[in-house]
Amino acid sequence: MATDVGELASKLDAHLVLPLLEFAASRGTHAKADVDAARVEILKKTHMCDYLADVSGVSVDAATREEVLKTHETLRAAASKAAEFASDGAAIKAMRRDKGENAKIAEASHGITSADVEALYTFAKFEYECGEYASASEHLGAVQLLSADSARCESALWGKFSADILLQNWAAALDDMNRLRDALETNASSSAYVKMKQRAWLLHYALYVFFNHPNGRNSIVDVMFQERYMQAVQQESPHLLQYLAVAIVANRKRRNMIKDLVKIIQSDSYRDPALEFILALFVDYDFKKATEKLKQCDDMIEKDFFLIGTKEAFDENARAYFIENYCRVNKRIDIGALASTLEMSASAVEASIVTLIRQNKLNARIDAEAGVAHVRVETKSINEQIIEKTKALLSKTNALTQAVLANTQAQAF
Amino acid sequence: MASKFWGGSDSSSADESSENVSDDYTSTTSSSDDSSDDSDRGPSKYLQDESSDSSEDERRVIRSSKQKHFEMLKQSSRELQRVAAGRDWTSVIGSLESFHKHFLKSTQASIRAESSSKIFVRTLVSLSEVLDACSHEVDFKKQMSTTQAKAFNSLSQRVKKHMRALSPADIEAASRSRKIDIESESESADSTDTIDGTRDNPTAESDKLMQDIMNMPKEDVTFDMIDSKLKEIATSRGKKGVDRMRSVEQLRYVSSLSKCAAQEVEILLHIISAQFDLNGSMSTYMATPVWRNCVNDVLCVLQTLETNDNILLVDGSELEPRPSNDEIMAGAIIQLRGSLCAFAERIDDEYTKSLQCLDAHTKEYINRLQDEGALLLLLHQVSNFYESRNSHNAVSLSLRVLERIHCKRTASYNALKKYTDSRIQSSASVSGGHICDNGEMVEKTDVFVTNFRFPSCELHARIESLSAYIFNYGEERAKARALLCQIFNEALCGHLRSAKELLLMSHLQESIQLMDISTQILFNRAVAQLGVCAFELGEFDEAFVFLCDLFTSGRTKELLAQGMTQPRFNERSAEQDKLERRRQLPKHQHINLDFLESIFLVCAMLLEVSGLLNVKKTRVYPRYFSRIMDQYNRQPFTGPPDNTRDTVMAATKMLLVGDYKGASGLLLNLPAWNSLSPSALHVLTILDERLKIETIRVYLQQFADQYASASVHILAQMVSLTNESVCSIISSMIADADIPAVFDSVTQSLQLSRVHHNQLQSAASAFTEKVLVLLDANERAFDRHIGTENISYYDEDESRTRRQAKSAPEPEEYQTRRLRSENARGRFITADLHDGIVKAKQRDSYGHFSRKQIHCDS
Repeated sequence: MATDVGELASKLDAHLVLPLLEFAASRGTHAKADVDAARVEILKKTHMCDYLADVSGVSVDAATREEVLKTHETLRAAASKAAEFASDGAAIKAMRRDKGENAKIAEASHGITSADVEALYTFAKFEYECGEYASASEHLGAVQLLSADSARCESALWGKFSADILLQNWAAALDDMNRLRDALETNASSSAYVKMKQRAWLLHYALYVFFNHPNGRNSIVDVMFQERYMQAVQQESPHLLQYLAVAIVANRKRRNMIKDLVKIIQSDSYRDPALEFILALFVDYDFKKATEKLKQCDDMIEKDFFLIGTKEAFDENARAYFIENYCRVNKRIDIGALASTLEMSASAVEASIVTLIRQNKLNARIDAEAGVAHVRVETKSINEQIIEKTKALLSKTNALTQAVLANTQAQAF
Repeated sequence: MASKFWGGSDSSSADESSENVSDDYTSTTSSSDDSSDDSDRGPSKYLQDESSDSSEDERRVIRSSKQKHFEMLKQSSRELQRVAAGRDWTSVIGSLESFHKHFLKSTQASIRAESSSKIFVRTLVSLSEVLDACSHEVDFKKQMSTTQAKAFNSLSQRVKKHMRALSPADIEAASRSRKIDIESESESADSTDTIDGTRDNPTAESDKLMQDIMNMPKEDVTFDMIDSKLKEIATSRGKKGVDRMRSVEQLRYVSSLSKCAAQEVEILLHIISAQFDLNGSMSTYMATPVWRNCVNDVLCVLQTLETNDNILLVDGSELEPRPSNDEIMAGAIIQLRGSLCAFAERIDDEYTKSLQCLDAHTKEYINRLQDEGALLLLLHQVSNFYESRNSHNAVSLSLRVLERIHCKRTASYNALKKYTDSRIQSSASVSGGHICDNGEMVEKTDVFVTNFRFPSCELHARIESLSAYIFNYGEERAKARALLCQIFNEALCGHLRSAKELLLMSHLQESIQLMDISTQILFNRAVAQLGVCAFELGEFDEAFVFLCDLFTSGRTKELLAQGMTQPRFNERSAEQDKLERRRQLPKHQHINLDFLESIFLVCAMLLEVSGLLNVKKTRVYPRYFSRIMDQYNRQPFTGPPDNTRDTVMAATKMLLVGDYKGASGLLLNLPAWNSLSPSALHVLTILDERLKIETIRVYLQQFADQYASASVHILAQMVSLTNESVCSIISSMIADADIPAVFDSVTQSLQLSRVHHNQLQSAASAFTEKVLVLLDANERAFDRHIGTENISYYDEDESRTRRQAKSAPEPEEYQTRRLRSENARGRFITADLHDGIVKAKQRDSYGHFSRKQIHCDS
C-alpha cells in the first residue's frame, strides 16, 4: 500500500493527499510515525499552520503565522471588490456562458476590472493553501466565470475541483470534473503528450468523486473506457486499472464491460489482485486461483481509501460471478463445498443459484436433499440457431438498399 | 612524349634526349634570328616580312620559303588570337581553318616541324582556354545571337577535335608554359614571339626543377615548386591516358615534401579525390587498400584542420582570393575547396558497395568487416568536427553512424570496438615499416592514433544519443530513419514494449508509403525485427501481426532487400535490376529469412489451427495459413518434410489428430531455431506449452461429436500436462461455447452432448451461411464504391507503374493501413468491439477484394 499511496500522491494535489494519509493512519497499515512524518512534509508546503502544529506537536513560530495572516489580509484587501461580487449570489446567477459579456456586465454593474479578477484568483489560491476551501471554491468559481484568459480559467477549474472534493461537495465536484474535461479537450495549445498527462491527473483527482458520488461508479467506467482516458491510464498510471476493475465488478449494471476489461488487462503487463482475480475467473476458469485472489482482493479493498466504500458490493458481486461461472462449467455442483470455498453460507449460495436458474442463465435443478445442483447441457436446437442467424438479415438488407438508393439518387442529380 | 617540352624528362631515353638537343639547337638559332628582328618589329612587321622576302636572293629564297611558312603560321596564330579576343566567333572559325592549313603546310615543310607544332599546340590551348572562360561566364550564351552561338558551338567542337589529335602531355606542357607566359606578358609587350622558343629555355629550366623535385633531396624543395607540381598533377586529372595510379603515387610523394600544414591539407585533398578516381564505374567497388588509405587521409586532414585554425574547408560558395605563397607559409587564413562530409559519405558508400560485391562466405568478406571499426571512427570524428561547427552535415553523418550500428548486438559492437582499439594501439607501438598484410594501414594509422579513439560509450547509449541529436536537428527523412533504426535496435535487444511504443507514437506507419524506398525497406526491417522480438518473448499473436504482411505479400526478399525473387510476369528492365541490386543489404545485416518464416508459420499455426476446424467463428486474421494448408493437402504425394513450410504443415496435420508428441518433435527441432538468441531459448518451452493447449483444443473440437465423455486424466497424459491446467482449458472452452459439454468434477471427466442434424437441417444451416456471406459481400461492395469513388489510385495503370517504380508499394500500403488500424485501437480494444474499427478493417480487405474484381472485369 505504501507504494500505492506514493503512486497516487504523485499525481494529486498536496491537500488531496492528506485524507489518504489520515485514512492510512486510522487503518494502522503503516507505522504512525511514518504517516505523521509524511503529513508534516506535505503540510509544510501549504499555509495551514495550525493544522501543521496539531500534527507535528510542535508549535510553529509565531512569525510565520503572523506572516501568513498578514499576507491573507493584504490579499483580501486587494481582492475585496471582486470577492464581494463573488459572494453576491444573484449577480453570479445572472452570468451567462459568454465570458466576454460576463466581464462587461461585471465591469458595468460592479466596476470589476480584469485586474480585480486577477487579484481574486491570487486571493482564492491563498485561501486554498490555508485550507479555507469553501470560500476558495466560491471565489474560483467567480474567477472562472469572469476571466478571459483560458489558462487562468483552467487552473481556476482545477482549484475549484479540488476544493469541492475537499469540501466533500460531490455534486459540485462532478460538475467541475466534467467542465474540466471539456476544458482539457478544447485546449488547442497543449500537445497530445501534455494532454495525456493532464488526463491522468484528472483521473486521479476524480477518484474521490468516482467512489463517493452516488453515480460515481458508473462514471468511472464511462470515463475510463473512453479511448483517450484509457490511453492515459495505460501509459501513465496502470495502477488505476484496479479501481476500474473493482468498480466494474461491484456494479452489476456494467457486467457487459467485463469482456472489454479482460482484453485491456491481457494487453497490459500491470498486475494486482483485482486484475488477477478477473483473469482467473474469466479467462483461465481456474477456480482455485480465483478463490485465492478473491481473498487478496478483500484485503486490498479493506486497506484502500477509495475502495472501502465498495467493499460490500464487490464481495457480493464477485461471489455471484464466481458461482455463475462455476455453474456454467461444472455438471454437478456441491453447494456446501462451494459455500465453504467462498466463505458464504450454503443458503446464500443456493439462493444465488436459484436466481441464476430463474433468470434462465442456467439450466439446472437443485437436489436440496443432497445439497447438489445438477446442470444439464442443452445446445440450442438447429431451428433456433437458424432463426438467430437470419434475424438481422432483413434489417441489414433494408439498410443496404436505402444506402444504395440514396447514393444513386445523389449521383443522378 | 612530354619530352618535347620538358628538358629532363623522367623517362629520358636515348633518342628523346637527342631530339632535345636538336630542339635546343633550333630554338637557339631561331631566337637569335628573332632577337635581331625584334628591335624594329612593330605593327608593321608583316610588311617587313614581305620586304625581306623580296630582297632575298636565290639561296636565301629556299630557306625563306620554309621561313615564310613558319612566319605565315605565326601570323595566322596571332590573327586567330586577336579575333578570338574580339569574340567574333564566325571569323574565328575562318581563321582557325586557315591556321590549321598553314600548320599542315609547315609540317610538310618539315624543317621546323618541332617549333610549328609547338605553336600549333599553344595556340589551340590558348584558344580553348578562351572558349572555356567564355562558356563559364554567366549569361554569356544568352547574350549571343543565334548565328554567333552556332559558330561558337562548332568552333568549340573543332577545337576539341584538334586537341584530341594531340597528345595530352603536349597540351599540358603548353598550358603550363602559357601560364608562365601570361605572367611575364606584362613585361614584354611583344609576347607572341616568345611562343617560338626564346622563352622555352627558362620555362624548360623551371620545369626541369619541378620534375626534379621527385628526385631532389627534400631540403632543397621549395614551397613554390611543390605548388606548381601540384597544379600540374591536378590539371592532368581526368584526362585521357593519364595513369591514375601513378598520379596518386606522385601526389603521395609530394605530400611527404609539403612545407606547411595548409599545403599538406591541399595535397591530401587532391590525393583523396585522386583515389576516388581510381575506379571508374559505379558497379565496382574501391580496392580495400585504397579505401584504407582514404580513411587515413581523411583522418589526417581532419587532424590538421583541428590543430590549424587558419585552414578552412569550403564547399559550395565561392572561395576567397588565395593569399600569396609566402603568406600561406606564414599561416595566413586560406580557404580550400573540399568537403569532409562528402568524403566520409563516399567512403561509407564504397564500403557498402564492397560488401555488396564480395561473397559473404569468403575470408575476404570477414576481413572487410573488420574495417567497419575504422569507418565508424571516421564517421564519428567527422561528425564531431561538423557538430562543433554547427553544420547540418553532422546530422547526415550521425545518421550514417546510426545506420551502421543499429543492427548490431552489444556483443558484436563491443568486439568491434575492442578490435579497433587494439589495432590503433598496436599500430601506435609499432613504428612504421612493420610488415603485415596491410602494411600501409599500419604505417599510416600512427598518424591519427594519438588523437582519435573509438567512442567509448555503450551501444545502446550511443544509439540513443545519436537519434536524440538527429531528432533535434534533422529534417523529416533523417528523423524517420533514425527512429526506425532505434526501433530496430530496441527490438533486437528484446525491448518489445518500448520499440512498439516508439513505432505507434511516431505514426510513421501512416506516412511510410510516401517515403523513399530505402526508408521503406528500413521500415520493413524494423517491423520484421519487432516480429522476431515478440516471438522471442512468447507473444505469438503480436509476432504474427507484425510478420503477416511481410509474408502474405510473397515478396519477402524484396521487402527486406535481401535478394531478389525471379520476376514472373513483367520482366524487370536491366536498369531496375541494377537499382534493386544497389539497394541490397550486405549479407551480415540480413535477418535470417528461414528464421522469419519459421516464426511466422508457427505463429500462424498456433492462431489458426483451431480455425481450420471451426469455420463459423469470426476471424481476425487473414486466411493465409488455411490457404497454404489447402495447397499442401492438394499435393498428390507428400514426402517427408524437408523445408520449413512442409515441416510446419506436417506438424499441423499431426496436431489435428492429436499427435502432440510428433508435432512438438517436428516444431521444436526446426533448424531455424539455431538463430534464436541464446537468451531467448526459453521461448521454445513457452511454445511447447502453447502447443499442448492447442492440441487439446483441437482434439476436443475434432472429436467431440464422436465421444460421450472424455477423461481429464487421459487428456492430460496425452500432452503431459497437469490435470488442473487441462481442467482450466476445458472450462474455458465450455464457457466460450466451443464444445457442447459440461465438466463432471466427481469423475474428473468431460460430459459431451451431441446433437444430430438431419439432412434438411444441415442444408438449411448451410444455406443461411451462404446468404450471410452474400449480404456481407454486398455490403463490402457498396462500402468500397462509396469509399473510394474519388480516390484514383486504384486505377489500374497507375497502380502498375507504382508497382514497377517502387519495390513494394502495395504490400506497404496494406501493411501500414493494418498497423494504423491497430494503432487506432490503441492498445486496448480489439476489432470486434468497436463498430468503427470493424468498418475500417473491412475496408482494408476491400482494397484487395475490389482490385481483384477490376482485374476480372478488364
